[in-house]
Amino acid sequence: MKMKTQVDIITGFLGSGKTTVINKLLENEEIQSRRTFIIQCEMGETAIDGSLLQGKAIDTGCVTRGNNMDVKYILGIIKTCQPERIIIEHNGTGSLEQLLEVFQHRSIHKYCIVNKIIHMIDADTFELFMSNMGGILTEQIFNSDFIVINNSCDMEKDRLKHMERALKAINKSAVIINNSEGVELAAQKEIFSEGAGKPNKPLETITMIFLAFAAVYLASIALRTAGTGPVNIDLSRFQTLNTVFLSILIQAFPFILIGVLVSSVIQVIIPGEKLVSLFPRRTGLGFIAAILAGFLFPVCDCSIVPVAARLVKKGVPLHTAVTFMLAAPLVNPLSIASTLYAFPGQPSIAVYRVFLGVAVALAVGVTFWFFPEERKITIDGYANYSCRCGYCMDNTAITGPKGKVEAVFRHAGAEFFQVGRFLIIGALLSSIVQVMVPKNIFSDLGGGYVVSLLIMMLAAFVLSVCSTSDAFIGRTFINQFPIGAVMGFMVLGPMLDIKNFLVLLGNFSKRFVFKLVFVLFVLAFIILLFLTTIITVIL
Amino acid sequence: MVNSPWVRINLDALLRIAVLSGFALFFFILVQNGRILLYVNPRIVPYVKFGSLVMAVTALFFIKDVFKPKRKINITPYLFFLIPLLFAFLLPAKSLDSTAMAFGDVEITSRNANAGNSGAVVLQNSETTDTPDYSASDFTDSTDSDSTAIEEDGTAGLDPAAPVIVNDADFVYWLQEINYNMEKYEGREVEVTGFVFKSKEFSHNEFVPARLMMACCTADLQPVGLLCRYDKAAELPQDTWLKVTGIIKAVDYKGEKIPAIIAAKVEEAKKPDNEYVYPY
Repeated sequence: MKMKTQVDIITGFLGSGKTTVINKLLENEEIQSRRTFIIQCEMGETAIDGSLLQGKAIDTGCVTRGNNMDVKYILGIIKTCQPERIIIEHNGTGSLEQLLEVFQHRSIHKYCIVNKIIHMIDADTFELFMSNMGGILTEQIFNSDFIVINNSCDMEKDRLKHMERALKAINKSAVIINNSEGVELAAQKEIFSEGAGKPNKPLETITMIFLAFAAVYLASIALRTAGTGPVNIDLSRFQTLNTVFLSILIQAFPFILIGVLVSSVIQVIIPGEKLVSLFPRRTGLGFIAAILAGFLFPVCDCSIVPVAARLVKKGVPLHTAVTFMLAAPLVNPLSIASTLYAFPGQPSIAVYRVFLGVAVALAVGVTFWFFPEERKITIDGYANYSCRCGYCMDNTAITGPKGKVEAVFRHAGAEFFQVGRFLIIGALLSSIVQVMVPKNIFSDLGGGYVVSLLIMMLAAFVLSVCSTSDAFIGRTFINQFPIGAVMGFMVLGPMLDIKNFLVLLGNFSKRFVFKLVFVLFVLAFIILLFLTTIITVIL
Repeated sequence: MVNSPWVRINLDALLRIAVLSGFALFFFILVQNGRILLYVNPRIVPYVKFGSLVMAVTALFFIKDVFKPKRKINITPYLFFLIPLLFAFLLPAKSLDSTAMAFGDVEITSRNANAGNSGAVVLQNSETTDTPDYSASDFTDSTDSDSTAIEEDGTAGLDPAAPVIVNDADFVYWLQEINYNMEKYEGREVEVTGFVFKSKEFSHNEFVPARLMMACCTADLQPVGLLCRYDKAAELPQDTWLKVTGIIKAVDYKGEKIPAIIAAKVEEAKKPDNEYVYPY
């Protein structure tokens, strides 16, 4: 069988050094020995060095506005020149996916194989392009195998590191080449050599996992029918864990879905400026609006995090969004109702719970107002790209209500996958805690008031019950702990627990999450300690 | 993230659809065959239906991607979803009993009961006129079918001669009602079905015909019930289902006055279809 034509693609914006790489490449002996066709999609300052082409089996072609790089064009080249390899200098502002689609066309797929995609970056302009042309750039970065950062010699280390992190966030597997000889390195032959690095086969991995499961399942059935004692017991323990784990998922999935849907509606339908203007300009009123919004949002803690993250991305001040995020699961109607049910005849408990929750949420919000976060705290990048809702990439393409509905659902779906896995890990951890750790382990710890409060706050984090059932679990501690400490359980629980913590990590940067958790824990402790002491005196 | 070979199917989109429709189907089947109640409180069921619908619809919107192959595919995120999904279909739900989870102690009383402010969940009877409005208006709507059951039995409970028959639907209601109005029910005959729950703290003649109460989902199950004094309590094996008939009496339990059943008759009972009880 005839060898397929090897296609290498070099992407990057104007001035990032694409042609320079090609020139370096042409000096390479291996290249010179093979019949090569170079397609240029744009003409920059640097031209292909004509002297390098002389006397060698290298042809060049240029795609301008007149002739598109479509199936017909590529086929023409293959038929007339029969090159062993094609090097494409891609137009930086064009869609790489469109180009890749050409090579997937049945008629071309027979002759060609896309080998390597290299993305060139000019360190100086990267941030500027990223903020203006984010969609196109992310698409190119996402699909690349190698990323070469050019002109990075006199850049501060911090800025460079930040840049590399941004690239990694978009494309985990790409090799980032970053030093003064980046271009030289890029032209080295191992990068372009055929099939460098073994490609993994995702299909095979998945088949293996399915087979493993099937094997375990069959084995368990076989053992059960054989009636082996100990296996049965183990399985029942595992089955319990599985039931508890699934119950948390079943209960949390609808709320997460509500969360991502609301977040997507905000993303797709409400323009950023309008949303920001919904929150009062004056900070004081902003806090009040954040808490009132919480009252109107009848969902549990899992749904609120994606919504809060979206608010921040849309430009709502962080302190307002944080206040909203912490207050909403506590002050919403469902949570209030469950407190009233859990403590029949004592509406004061529900009132104090709301009051304390609002106090803690405000305190944390005010802290973030005084000490604002300088850096970007939300996670997107890759998430935005993988979203493919058609909106995040290019929001001018969405027109009409039908397009918007589609965008909302696609965006919600993408966000669901992003947040959902953290929820699943959280649910697994908390179901292990539920099954293994007796609830009264906390009661046995006992101690003074301060210790009790700390234990209850810790219990709230570890037990990770849904914010609508916190009150019922809290009530079971009432015999062993002072009401103030139980209040600590019921106030902190909806704001922060294992499950929620992981969902936070799925939406915000690690640094911010740890800072938030620390501030929240310290402030909640201080406020609860003082206020519950006063309340206990009143009660 | 891996370089995919040039497969013509977009595995990424396919996995998305598989996960979304898989969970949607799982939720749907659970709701259809009623096994959903092994997982969540009936109050959550409408949300589950909603979730199932949203996931199914979302899956539809990804179908058009399936034939748009992608050069790079990262399957790891989907494994997080596929594994629980496999377990969901492979392992049937288990109805938990008292040994299944590391429960604390059974809840037999609430010390926080305020004597003057009795029974918020009780309906509008003469004794609870001081109960704020919310109990009548807000809550009767949300308790759907259960509220009628409570209402009927609640009225029956007012007849001081009639025995208190504790049904599945109003188990938690009666528990609270008897706890908060101990004096009123003292001497009344009571009939209750539950499984035998024994704590290390109990004396040899004590057990609780308990039920597992689910506030939200299986993760928050906790045993609840009235303490029962019965001579042959020691002979009763843990977790057997019993019907207990007896008289309510305020007894002294570890220095605290709590309502208890002085059992007259203890007979074996059939396990109820739904083993769990719900606070609301």
